[in-house]
Amino acid sequence: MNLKRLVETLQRQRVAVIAVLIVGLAVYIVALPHLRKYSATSTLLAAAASSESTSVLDPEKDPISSAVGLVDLEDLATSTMILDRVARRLHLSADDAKKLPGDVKAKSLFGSNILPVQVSDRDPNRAIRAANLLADELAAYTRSISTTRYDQLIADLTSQVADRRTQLQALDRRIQDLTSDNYYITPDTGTAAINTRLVALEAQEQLLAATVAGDVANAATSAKRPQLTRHLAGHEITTQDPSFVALKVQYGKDLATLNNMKAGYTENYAGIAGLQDTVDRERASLARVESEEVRDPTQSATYVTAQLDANRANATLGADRAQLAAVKKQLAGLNGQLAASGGEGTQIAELRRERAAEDDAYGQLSARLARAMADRAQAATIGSVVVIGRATSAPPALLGRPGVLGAAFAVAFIWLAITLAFVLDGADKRLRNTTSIEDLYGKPVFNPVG
Amino acid sequence: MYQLEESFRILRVTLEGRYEGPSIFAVTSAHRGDGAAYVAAGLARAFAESGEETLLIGASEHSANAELSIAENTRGTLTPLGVMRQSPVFAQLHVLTLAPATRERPVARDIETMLVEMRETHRAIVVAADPVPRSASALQFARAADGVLISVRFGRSPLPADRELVRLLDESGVTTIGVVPTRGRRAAAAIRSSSTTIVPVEYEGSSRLATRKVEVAS
Repeated sequence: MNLKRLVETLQRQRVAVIAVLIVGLAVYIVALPHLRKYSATSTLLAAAASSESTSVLDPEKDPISSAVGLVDLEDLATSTMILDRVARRLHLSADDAKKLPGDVKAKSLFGSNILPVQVSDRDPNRAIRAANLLADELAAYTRSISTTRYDQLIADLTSQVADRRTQLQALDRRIQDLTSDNYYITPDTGTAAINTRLVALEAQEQLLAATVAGDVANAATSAKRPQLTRHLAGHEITTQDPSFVALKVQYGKDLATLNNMKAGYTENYAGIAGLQDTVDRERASLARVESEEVRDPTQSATYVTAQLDANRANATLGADRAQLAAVKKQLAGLNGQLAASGGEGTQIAELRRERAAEDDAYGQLSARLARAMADRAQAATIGSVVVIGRATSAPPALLGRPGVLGAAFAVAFIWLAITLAFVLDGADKRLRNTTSIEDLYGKPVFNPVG
Repeated sequence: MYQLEESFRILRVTLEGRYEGPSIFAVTSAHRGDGAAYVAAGLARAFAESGEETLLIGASEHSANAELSIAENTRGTLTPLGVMRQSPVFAQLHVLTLAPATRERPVARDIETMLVEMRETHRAIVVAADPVPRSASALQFARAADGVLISVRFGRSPLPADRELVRLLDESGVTTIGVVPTRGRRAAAAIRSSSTTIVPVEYEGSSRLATRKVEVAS
């Protein structure tokens, strides 16, 4: 299509073209107040890890990472749930609330973590409020998602911990009931106290038995010592008697003299017989004194000592035997108690094992609960999506500016007018140019005249 | 107005280049109001202003006004076919207005005889004919002419008569020179009123036309 044909067409259809342009102008004048819009922008920073790493509500997810990815945030900004909250806080009418999604635009800048949230409205103040409210709701909602992923886990863990605690209390009551009537069974150790005592007593019994055996041997030995020291005691007694010693010395001298005399003289030597007699008397005297003194061995310290040792050994043996008998008596008593409390001990042992298992499970649950609560607190505190820029002004939107809007209307209606002109011209079969005449007649056409 | 005159001159020059010597041109159309008489009158004047002896034959009922506008207030000479007048502006231009009886029921022999006679005294003979599909005399003039010009009005819708015109001319062995488009309303007005087109050319531009006649002749 060349320019000449365009001009000719527009000229032929000028009425329609002018009518369309007039209508366009009228529409522009009427629509301008309704189409003028103002845009306010709030800016969010989403410290977001990829939401593809783990599921959004996975409690194992790193609590410091955002629960919602940046791409999801863009969709979330225009979601019905968020916009309904904003509409309620803005007290929008139902119709305005329905239009709100079309007035919201959220698109991250070149893939960064910055997310501008733009709201357009005919009222600039309302646009500012809506942009700020939308940013706040987005941040709050993502934070709630960050903590919600822990809430269910915490609730479950809390419930389980409570159940475990109840079971532990029940076990404690049962153990307490079993041990309250039996002195030898404690809640903590059950029958272990008896066993411990029995073991100690048995060790003591064995020690005492060994001691008694030693005492018996010692007593037997000690009992022989007085008899063994009897001769020694006689010697000790005589040697400690001065007259006996003197007599014995004299006897020795006389005997020596006698022997010398006998060695140097014959039996006939006069002195020998007398001296022999003296020696015999002295010997008899010594024997008499000795027999008299030895008759009472208690005068010997050694004998007395031996006798005392024998007595002491016998006393020790008797004492140890008495202790052994007492220990054996205690052992018999404890064994009787143990035999009497055998069923209760088994029950307590079972309860104790069950309680230990419960206690272990309780500890694990408590640890998980503590970690979950800590993660929740961390997720709630850090705030992975924060508002870093609040809307303070609402400049006119590009298409809401009268100049731009007028240009858009002009382009649109001019295009419409041209289109309409060509449509009408195409529908007009009249002879409008030399080409159509030439086509009709199949003859050469001269310049028009007139 | 100047462009209008120039358009006819261009048409005249075109025909002069194609037809040497005395020539007869018939101007017809497929539909009334297409401006055949208007074209014929303008073409005749163009020939006349160039100094050529020219005869405009008003064979159309609607060409009467045009003929009168050219030879208005002049005394005519009665001929067997009608009244012949001389233009007061162009001495070389003569206008023959056919009598109604001749126009409605022409005799082929009379027409041929007349044209043969007129060819001897006129360089160009231009016949303003009725629409061929509607008039037998128009077809007779067309057959007698050296060439036929078809006048078509811009802005009207194509009609079956257009195809019929072409078919009749082709079947009659008529040489169709070409088609001359006319601005419909202005051409019709020229036909209806002698003061719209023809008169201004003659009265207001007479001196200019005379000057141009010299220029064209040169």
